[in-house]
Amino acid sequence: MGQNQVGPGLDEVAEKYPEVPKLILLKIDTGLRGVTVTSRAEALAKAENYLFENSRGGKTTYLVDGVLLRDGTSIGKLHFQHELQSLAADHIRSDGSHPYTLDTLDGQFWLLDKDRPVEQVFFSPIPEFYDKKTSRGTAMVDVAKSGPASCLSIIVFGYCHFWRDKRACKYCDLVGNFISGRDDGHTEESLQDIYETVAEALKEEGRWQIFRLTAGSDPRGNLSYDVETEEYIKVLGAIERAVGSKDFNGRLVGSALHKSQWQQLKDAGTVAVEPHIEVWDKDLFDNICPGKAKYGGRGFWLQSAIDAVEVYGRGNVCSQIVGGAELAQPYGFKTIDAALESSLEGVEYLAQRGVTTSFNVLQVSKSSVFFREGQKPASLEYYARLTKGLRDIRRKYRIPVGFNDYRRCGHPDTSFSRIDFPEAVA
Amino acid sequence: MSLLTAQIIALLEDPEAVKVVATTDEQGRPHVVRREGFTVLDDGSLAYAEGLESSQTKSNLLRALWYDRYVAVTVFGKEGAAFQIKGKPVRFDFTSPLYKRFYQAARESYGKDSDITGVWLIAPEEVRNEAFEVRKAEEERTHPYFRHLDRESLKRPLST
Repeated sequence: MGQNQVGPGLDEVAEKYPEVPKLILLKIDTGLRGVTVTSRAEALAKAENYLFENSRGGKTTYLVDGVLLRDGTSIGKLHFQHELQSLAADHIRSDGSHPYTLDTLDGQFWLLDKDRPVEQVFFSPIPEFYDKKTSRGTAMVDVAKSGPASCLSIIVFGYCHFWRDKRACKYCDLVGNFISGRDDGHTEESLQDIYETVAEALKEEGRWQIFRLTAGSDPRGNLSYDVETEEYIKVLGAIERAVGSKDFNGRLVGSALHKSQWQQLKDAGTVAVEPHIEVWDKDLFDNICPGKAKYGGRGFWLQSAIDAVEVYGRGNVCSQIVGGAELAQPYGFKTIDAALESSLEGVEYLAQRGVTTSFNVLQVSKSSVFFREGQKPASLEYYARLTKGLRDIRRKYRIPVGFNDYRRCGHPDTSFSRIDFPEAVA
Repeated sequence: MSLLTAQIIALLEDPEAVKVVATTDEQGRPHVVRREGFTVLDDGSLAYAEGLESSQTKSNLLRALWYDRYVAVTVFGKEGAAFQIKGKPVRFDFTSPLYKRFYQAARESYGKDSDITGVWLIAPEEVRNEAFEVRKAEEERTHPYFRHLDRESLKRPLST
């Protein structure tokens, strides 16, 4: 089946792949189809303080901490009524699919497929620090965000040299943020903002378990990516100051770095890292990730992940693939069988070397190159098979992925792997 | 209507009563552990906090939720009271006010380094009185031929 066909729906896929939990399939399906919130549900969520209003440039948007299924798995991004007009124009979705609806039934939140109740869902509360400001007046919500529930995320810098070099990853839709951001590094003041925000966030009991630091790619430096590394180290220092020790579960989603840089980051408090390969096939990697291909190349990206295992240990290094990117036409794989064979070959190659791999559901959004190319998301069945494949490989090599699971990041496959403690992973 | 009587709820919430959670792993092997801090919610479901994210019990409860399997909670009171509650896990909660309540209770009971991973909600579907005297009386009523006949209570003096 080519990637342009919707394929079987949730019930059919769940029946065909009974080992993949239906709640995990539902999570994926909400990512593929989207979730629109009714006015009634929006009003109730607002009344119960689950929506944080963020106003910028005369435009108000809602921040939602997360919407969880019964097992704690988060669902795809919500779209409110005032966003619906632009939503249709800004996203390419599977042919013929319609979004799920988040509505209320008897005063509770439910996910509906057309008019049929599918699952009860639960809003995760907004973090208590969101409405506070640092001593110099910076809104703390602009410094750090929950993402998802137990993970405190900090975007270390808001630009990506790959975009500036017109070599953005083709699926990436962050152009607005990542071109407008500053590239002159953190200042004492901005680090103080981070320190104060983290200190405030940690006052909330029973909330945070891990930090996630991420940024665009910055290959500048005497050794490539030195500038990016230095910025991470500055921010890690601010977090250390707020926590009071280096034992704060710092996780980094960044570029491929050299082994010496991984060691510097470990010394600064990082315990887990993620240099993402994105697409396994070499020709497709070069085509879809031209920035990564130019600034290091596929071999460097792979070796960096393998080197990181020596520094951080098995189970603390994760690569990532953008599931469905390898089906981009006309240059990608023509069938999902061929696509999965390629991706899982790569995942197994990395697992043999102590690196685990997660996946993201491909979103085709307006600002991406893929949107201009008219690419379409893969089918739910493809993602069911990819989820199972990644989990099976993790079990085969007994690699845990706890730093990157349902409540510390939220990938479908890693959310599935949470069941494998303690029988099937170390 | 809740399957749980006031007596069972009181036992579940009695800190001195022993509570055990029985689950099965991927191969169907049983796993039985002692747990505490149970409470019964207004909708009749049982709630308790699981301490460890990577515990066998946590995985087995998740397996039961995902694949529609049963688990059992048995409570043993003083003076022989015992009830077994079979049911299905219906939610794992690590964000709500209920979760925060359990988290704070763990902190108060076990100090500021104590932790929980979340709260499991189990919907009871079947309750069985496991007190030996109750089970014995039932068996003797329904299957009298399972008794040995040399019991003291069965002896009558020989007529002369």
